[in-house]
Amino acid sequence: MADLELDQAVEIAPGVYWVGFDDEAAGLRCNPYLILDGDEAVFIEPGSVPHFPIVLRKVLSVVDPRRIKTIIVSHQDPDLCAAIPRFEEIIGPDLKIATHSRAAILIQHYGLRSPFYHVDQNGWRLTLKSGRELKFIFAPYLHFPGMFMTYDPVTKILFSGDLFGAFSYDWSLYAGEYYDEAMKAFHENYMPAREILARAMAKLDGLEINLIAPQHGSIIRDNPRRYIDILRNLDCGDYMLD
Amino acid sequence: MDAYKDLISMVVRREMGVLGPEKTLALLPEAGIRVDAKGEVLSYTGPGREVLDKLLRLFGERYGLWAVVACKIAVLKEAARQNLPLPDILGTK
Repeated sequence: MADLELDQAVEIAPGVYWVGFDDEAAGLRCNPYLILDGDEAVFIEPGSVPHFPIVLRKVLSVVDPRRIKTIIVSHQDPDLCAAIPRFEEIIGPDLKIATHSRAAILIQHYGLRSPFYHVDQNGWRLTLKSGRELKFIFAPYLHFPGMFMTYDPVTKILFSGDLFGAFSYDWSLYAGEYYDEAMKAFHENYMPAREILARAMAKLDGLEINLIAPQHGSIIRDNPRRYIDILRNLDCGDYMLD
Repeated sequence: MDAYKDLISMVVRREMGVLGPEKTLALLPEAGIRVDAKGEVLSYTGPGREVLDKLLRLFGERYGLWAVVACKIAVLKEAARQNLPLPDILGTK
C-alpha cells in the first residue's frame, strides 16, 4: 500500500475522512472524522484547541464547512470538544451538537452557541437529509456515564469514541502488529471494569463492522472481531488493585 | 531465568505496542535481557525481580511516566496472581 500522506485528510472509506493531527509529541493521538453525504457533512469528535489549526486545514480541504450540520461528540472531554466553539464560528448557525444528555450538561461549559441533539432522547439515531441513518450504541461508563459509539450502516464503520483507543508513541493511522498491547494499556487505565466493557462489546455482536475508528490510537481494519474479543475479556480498572 | 520471566515478557510485549518495537528492543540489552525478534524473552542476567525493576526504570527514564503506567496494572495483576513480590518501582500505587 502506498504511504499515507498524514499531513492531508485521508479518505478511510468512500466519503469518510480522517482529519486528525499526527502529533508526534502526544502519546494519546486524537482522531477527528468527517462523513460527507451529498451536500451535508457530519463532523465526529472535532478535537482539542492545540490541534484546531491543523484539523481545520484538513476539514477545509475536503468540505465547505457550512455543509457541516452536525457535530457528534461521544463524551465531554477537552481532547474532542474544546475546539467546538472555534468551529462554530466557521461553520455557521445551522449546526447542532449530537451527544448524550449526560454529556451535554457538561459540554455547555465550553461556551457553545449551537443547540444540542440529545441522542438518548431521539431514538439513538440521527437521520441525515438524504435519509442515511447513523445509529448510536450506548456504552455507559466507558469511560463516561453518557458515552456512546456511532455506527454508519452505509460504510459499516464503527466510530467508537474512546473504546478501542490506545496509547501510541509509535503511532500509525492503521493498527499494526502490536496494537492490541497499546489498546490494552489504554483500557486498563481508563475503563472501569471488565463486566462493563464486556456488556458494551456484546452490543457489537451481530453488527457488520468493516472498520473501527476510535478517537484515540489507530483505525482497526484487519479482523475487527479479534479486537472486540480482546476487550470483551480484558480485566481493567484500578479497583482490582485494592 | 526465574518466575519473573512471564512478567518481563509481558512488559516487553506491552512496550512494543506503546513505544514500538525499535525503541523497545534497543533498550533491552541495558537491562541485561535478550529477546527474539518477536520480543519473546530468551534470557536475562540476574534475579528477575531486579531485572524487571531495572527494565521499568529504564523505560521511565528514557520515555517518561506513561511508559511505566502503560504496564503497571497488568504487571500488578499478574504479580498478585503468581504471588510474586513486586519490583520496587511498582511497590507503591
